[in-house]
Amino acid sequence: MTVLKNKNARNIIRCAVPAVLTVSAVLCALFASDGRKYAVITVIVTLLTLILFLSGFDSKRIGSRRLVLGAVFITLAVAGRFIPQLKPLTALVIISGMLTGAETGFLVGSLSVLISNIFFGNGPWTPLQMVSMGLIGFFAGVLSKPLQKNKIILALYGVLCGIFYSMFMDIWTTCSATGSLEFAEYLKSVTAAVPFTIIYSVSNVIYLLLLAPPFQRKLGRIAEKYGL
Amino acid sequence: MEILTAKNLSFTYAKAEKPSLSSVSFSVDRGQFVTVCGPTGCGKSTLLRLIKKELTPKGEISGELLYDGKPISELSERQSAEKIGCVVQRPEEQIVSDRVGGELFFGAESLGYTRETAYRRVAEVSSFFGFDLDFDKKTPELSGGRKQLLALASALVTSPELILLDEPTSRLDPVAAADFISMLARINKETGVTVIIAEHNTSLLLEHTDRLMFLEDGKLTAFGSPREVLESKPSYKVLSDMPAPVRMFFEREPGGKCPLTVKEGRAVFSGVEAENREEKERKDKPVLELKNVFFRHKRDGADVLKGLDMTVNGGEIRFIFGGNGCGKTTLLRCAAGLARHYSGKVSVFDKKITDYKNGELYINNVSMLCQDATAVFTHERIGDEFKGVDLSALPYDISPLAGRHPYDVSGGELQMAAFCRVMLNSPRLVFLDEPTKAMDAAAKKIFIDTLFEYKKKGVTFVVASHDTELAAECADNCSMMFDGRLICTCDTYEFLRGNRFYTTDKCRMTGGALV
Amino acid sequence: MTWFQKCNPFVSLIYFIAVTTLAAVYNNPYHTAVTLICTVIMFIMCGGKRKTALGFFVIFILTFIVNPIISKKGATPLLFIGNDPITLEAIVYGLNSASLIAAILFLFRCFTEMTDSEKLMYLLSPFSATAALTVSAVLRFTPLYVRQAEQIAEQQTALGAQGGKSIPEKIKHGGRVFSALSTWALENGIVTADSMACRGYGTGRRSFYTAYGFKKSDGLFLTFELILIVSTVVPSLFSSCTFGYYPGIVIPELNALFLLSASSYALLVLLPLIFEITDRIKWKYLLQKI
Repeated sequence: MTVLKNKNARNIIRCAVPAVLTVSAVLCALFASDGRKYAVITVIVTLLTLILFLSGFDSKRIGSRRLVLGAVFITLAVAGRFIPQLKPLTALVIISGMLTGAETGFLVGSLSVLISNIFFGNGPWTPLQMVSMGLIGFFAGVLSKPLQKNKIILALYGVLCGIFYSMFMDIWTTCSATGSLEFAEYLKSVTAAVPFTIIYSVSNVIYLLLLAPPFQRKLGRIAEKYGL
Repeated sequence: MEILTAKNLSFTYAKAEKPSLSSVSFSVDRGQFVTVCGPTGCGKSTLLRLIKKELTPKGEISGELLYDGKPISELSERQSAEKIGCVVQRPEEQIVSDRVGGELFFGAESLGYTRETAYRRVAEVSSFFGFDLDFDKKTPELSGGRKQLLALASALVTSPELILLDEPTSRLDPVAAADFISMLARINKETGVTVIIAEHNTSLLLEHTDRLMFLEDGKLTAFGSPREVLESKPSYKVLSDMPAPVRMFFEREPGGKCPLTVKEGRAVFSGVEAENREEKERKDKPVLELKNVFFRHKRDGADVLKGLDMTVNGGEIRFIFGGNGCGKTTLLRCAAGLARHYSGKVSVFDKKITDYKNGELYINNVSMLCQDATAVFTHERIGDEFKGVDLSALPYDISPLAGRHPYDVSGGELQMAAFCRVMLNSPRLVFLDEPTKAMDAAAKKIFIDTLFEYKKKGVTFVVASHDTELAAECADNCSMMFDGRLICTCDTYEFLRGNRFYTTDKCRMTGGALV
Repeated sequence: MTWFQKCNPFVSLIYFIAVTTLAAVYNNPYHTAVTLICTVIMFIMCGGKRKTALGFFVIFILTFIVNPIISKKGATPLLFIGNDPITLEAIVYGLNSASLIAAILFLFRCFTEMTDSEKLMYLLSPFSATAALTVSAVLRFTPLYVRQAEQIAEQQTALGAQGGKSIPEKIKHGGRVFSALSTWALENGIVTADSMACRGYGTGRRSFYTAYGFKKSDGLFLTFELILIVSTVVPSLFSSCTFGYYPGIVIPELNALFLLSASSYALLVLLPLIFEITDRIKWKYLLQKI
């Protein structure tokens, strides 16, 4: 595509795409007086957030080692999703954010969802999953120090992430199934999902407590050996 | 015109007591082909890492290292990336992209070349290496040799003046290694790129080498053209890294000029008389029998083993040769019960392999060491794999390695530790897949000694390998594998004498008198 | 469906986003039906698997059944289960919802079939070269890791260390393999990173080259696409195209504006099929000439 060749054009695209998306989101909200507007708006708004987030990373210049470590975590997380009963994706996203920083955490979270969805099916829900998983990784990076020091805080973060992810995705479930985003409807699907949320949060905690210490040691050793 | 100069260069790793390099001085001219050799841990890799500043490890440097008259540390990131190319030992891990094209573009993309320049450079390099046909191929589908050539090609895209290579052929089979070196020599001759290559097997390199550099414990013990080095009474250690013609010349001292290649060696040694060989009469019972074995990976895939027959007798060391992808590894996996054949019969110690239940096959009976020795280690310290074992009582004393991480020891040491771990369940039949890959001459010697020690105890070994010199030293019988079958099995001596390609340099030079 | 595989990924991405968004916004049985029929045809032409289609059909049935049972809205009760009415409106709404979800699933399956790693990277690259490069590295690592995991598992079996057959022991074994794999992966990741640094990664802004051209047909498709999006959206702003479900069914007025919008939408959804067929005819003609 010719537009991508020169820098100006790239920058124009970078500014234009979010702008166009914002305008279309507003338009959609205006003319769709009934029906699934919430679903559409939710998807568009998250897509926008995602693009803004990801395009911000180039200027930050993640170093080659952190980038590759991110790719390693994504691969492990994606491969882990194939093992039945063993789905350590969230735990690995948290660990990667905690050990390699907030930006890498967001990258690992969002891209591991995107790539594993190549196998499990992408759809309008992908941007939502990407943003929520990305944010889980991002805040794990922000809270890196307390998470690394204290097991209880780590476990608590795992529970919170489980609840956050479930509730975030329930927004999608509600508006895609019923076409509206009434609070009562949302509350219904949240309560319906409580058992899953509990299982999910508990498994997060178990995986975190099992996986975090060895990964901390492994990465610590590499940091010492190669000087990260 | 000097491109690289070192003056009293010393380097000590952070937290290390001994320096890895101590006052090394040399200079390399533009367009030269420099071979750096020496035993594992001599400082070869450290030296290369100091030249490429992106790879320089933490530690203390003293002395001078000048590139084109300027200290390396003063080169800009861009200059260093553009002017100094680098290829490392393992082809698998240095490839970044999933497509061949993407990999070739990587350097150009990183340095932000204009579209025109980038395409021109990539087009040129890929036509030279024949990657234009594989441009859209996925990188994991390439063979190991092609992967390493891809790494070299993508390093050349930025038109470097100096290429550094750290044991690039140590994980390749002999055919791929020869291809790689001849390509490298061609690039050196045609484009004038300066080459610095570290390698402990110099047999392919010597004829192209302008400067031979020998490092020992971080000290430069020899530096000069190969002839200069060899005429100055090289030490035993230098010789062990030299190719067969040179070693043989110094063993037998026939006088005259030292031959550097097999061709020159043939002129010197063609008249050597055959040694007397004692006839080995062995009448041991067969311990492993494969009859008409068929195997394929998928139901709709192609057969890998096509009606294979094999019998191995007790106490035998059997080598299996064959091209890459001929099914050697699959054969070992089937015979070790790790892959299930779909037709035919595999029996171990007179019992069908399927009759062994609950893993009893792997207790006191059979074991296997796969190609990648790191797969043996699941703990953080090597010693943890040997719980409750007296380490110093093993045939190879691994107690110095016990407290170290598997990835912190040299390739040869790791392989030996893995070998000892495999022998821990006291198996009577052991399968080894390319056990001497990444071993230098000293490590190989230790490996052979250990192998014989176990052989004395009656252990049977089946080894898949490319290393004919290793077979000449320790194998009883050799088999040739082709097209999913063993097409010939005979005594090692007969085997090597009868082959023209799968044979040792010694055998080639003496016309079969010696192997 | 070679059209999607060959066209510029951005052009097809706009199509997927537009169709999904519009179908969801109008939420009208007419639009849903058009989308479902078209996407099923495309799904078949993409070589979609019967098993996938069956899975989507199960989702369709479930969504269809669940809505009338849960929803108590609607003015026309048909029958009662206990005290709960099953209304005509809820059934219609359920049927529409189920078809819409199935259509979107089919549509995105086509999207999945046509996007390979290269296209994903191409789509990501204008927003983030870092993300594109990361995706490339992940796709490079995946087969390596699968192979290494198999090798570790086999090696541990050969050492007699695979443990027993009980579930806790199997999990423990799996954990050990995963741990060894991640050590290996992190260690080798450094080699990859160094090789990137050696070739100048991070010295400046990265550029990104791909072989995706922008053909005349891409331009044509894009033009039609944009015109049709506009002619679908603009008329519907002046005349209601929405279908009322609750409390009673309200069918939008069949005026010229609605007809323009609806036919534009149908053409938009059909656009790839039209291009595909023209393309096939063109090639047949070309081959005859040769």
